[in-house]
Amino acid sequence: MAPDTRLRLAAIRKALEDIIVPLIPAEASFAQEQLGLILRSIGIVRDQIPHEEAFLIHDAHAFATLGHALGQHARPQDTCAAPLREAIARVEAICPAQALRRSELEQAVGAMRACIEQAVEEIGADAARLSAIAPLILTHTETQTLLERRWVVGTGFDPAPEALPALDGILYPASTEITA
Amino acid sequence: MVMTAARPKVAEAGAQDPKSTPSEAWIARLQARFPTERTVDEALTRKLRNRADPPYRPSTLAEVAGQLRAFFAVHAPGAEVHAVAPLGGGASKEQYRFTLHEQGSAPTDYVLRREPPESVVETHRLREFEVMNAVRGTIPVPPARWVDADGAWFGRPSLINGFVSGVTKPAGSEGNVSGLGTGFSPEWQARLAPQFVDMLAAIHRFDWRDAALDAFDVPPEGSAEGVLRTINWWDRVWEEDSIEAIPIIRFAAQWLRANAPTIERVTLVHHDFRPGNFLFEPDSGTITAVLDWELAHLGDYHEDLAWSLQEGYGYTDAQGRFMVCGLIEREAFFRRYEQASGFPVDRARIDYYMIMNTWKSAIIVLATGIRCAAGGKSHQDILLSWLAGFGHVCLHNLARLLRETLHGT
Repeated sequence: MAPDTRLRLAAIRKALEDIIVPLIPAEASFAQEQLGLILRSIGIVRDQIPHEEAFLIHDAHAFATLGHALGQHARPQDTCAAPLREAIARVEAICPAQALRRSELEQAVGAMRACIEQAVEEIGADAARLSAIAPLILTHTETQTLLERRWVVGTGFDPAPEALPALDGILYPASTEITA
Repeated sequence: MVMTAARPKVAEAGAQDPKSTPSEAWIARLQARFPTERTVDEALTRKLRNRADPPYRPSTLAEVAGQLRAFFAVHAPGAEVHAVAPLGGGASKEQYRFTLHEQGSAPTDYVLRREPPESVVETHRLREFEVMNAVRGTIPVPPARWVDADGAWFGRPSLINGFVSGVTKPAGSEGNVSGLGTGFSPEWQARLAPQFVDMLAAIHRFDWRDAALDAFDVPPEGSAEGVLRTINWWDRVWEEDSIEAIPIIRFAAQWLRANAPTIERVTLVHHDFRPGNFLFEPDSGTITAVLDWELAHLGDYHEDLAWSLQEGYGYTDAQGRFMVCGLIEREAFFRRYEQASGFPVDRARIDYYMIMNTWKSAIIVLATGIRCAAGGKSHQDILLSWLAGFGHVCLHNLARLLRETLHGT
């Protein structure tokens, strides 16, 4: 996924600070104020991105707990009772107990990738084994680049953007959409 | 024969990421593992030794003007520096245009090309300076007049060349950043393609043996040693700069080593001959300069041909024909080149170098480009982040090219 979203935001911020900000005249106070807010907003978003999923999961459990407690006070004939039970059940069905810490996930994936690269180098030093692993590497790359290409399709480099599968189909192949 | 030393088997537990804070011992291991040209090694080693330095900080124009005046006080006493301004373009080096008024001469425009703390390609200014001077008179190039190879005057290694007028693409034409995917109308193709191909042929016919190219190592003919040295160069870059491991990069490196062809005729290789790296007059359509010689080396001309053939530099037209660099059909490109150069085009070598160049392109944008941006080390971090999108297309193409070569499909 490199460059990840945080790195892209850092590059945007740097371009604004290094190139754009010096060009805004000091007397353009509204533009100066807007730029200041943009830069600070980018900083906030950078800090928030790694924790967004955890925030949502935290929300889900916090509100489900409150819902449970409130439900103790609801009478069966209250119109809120059934929707409350259903909302709690939906959260409990789909929500993991705790979010993965993004930094741990990144480290684990990074270590996995590095081990694979080292294995390719070591195994591939032998010509016969290099041929043997070729289908594995090529098939993996063809699949993986579908995701990578879709992820950055907005850059306009892809010669066949219309042929790329949707991000949802790649990232959530087994999920079932939950309708209200 | 250039060989590579074995990769260290065990990571140094608890050690800091060596790519972020390279130790002299780690650098020495890379040098032993990936032997390459002397000045390529110098440039890569300097990059690593500076890696832990602070991020890029833009210079004010007053600072740049001050450095230029201090430089010319020694190198062109009495000359006056005027009109210093940043120059657009250039994903790799900072560029400033200025006017120099030397005593007894008319004011002349020049370009200062200065390395940022780290570039999308790490190269040696002396190589660029030497090759631009060597080919001048044979190929239209900006006159390279001064070089500050170690950055003594400009803080970082720099080169000063004459300013050449011209444009990199016709007005109103489409294209992505840095000359990628530039579109040329049929009229522009007819005007530019013959010059483009003939100029590439002229680069390859250039008699480098009598030229002052001391910064370049000469690969032996009839041997694969030069090819292996080039693989070492880029394999080392991957080892130094990659942010996340990508299996096919290692696989391709192994395949390239196992299948390296001999170099039968050593020629000058520009290494980045494509739209964006030549200027032409918008009225006459005459090519006025070939730019960006920083990756030039001595090698096999097929490497250059295959570079121009990369899909990212061209496009497929409405009739389904792939236009090399947006200018000319593939077979017409080969025919014109063979006529102009007198050198045969070996399709097997083209296939090999297509794989090598696609691999190199992926390394440039997915390793060095992202490493620069992550460290905040260049003036073009946002462009380098953007170019990563091109890298994934390169990986897709690399898999396809390898599959076609391995299985003939």
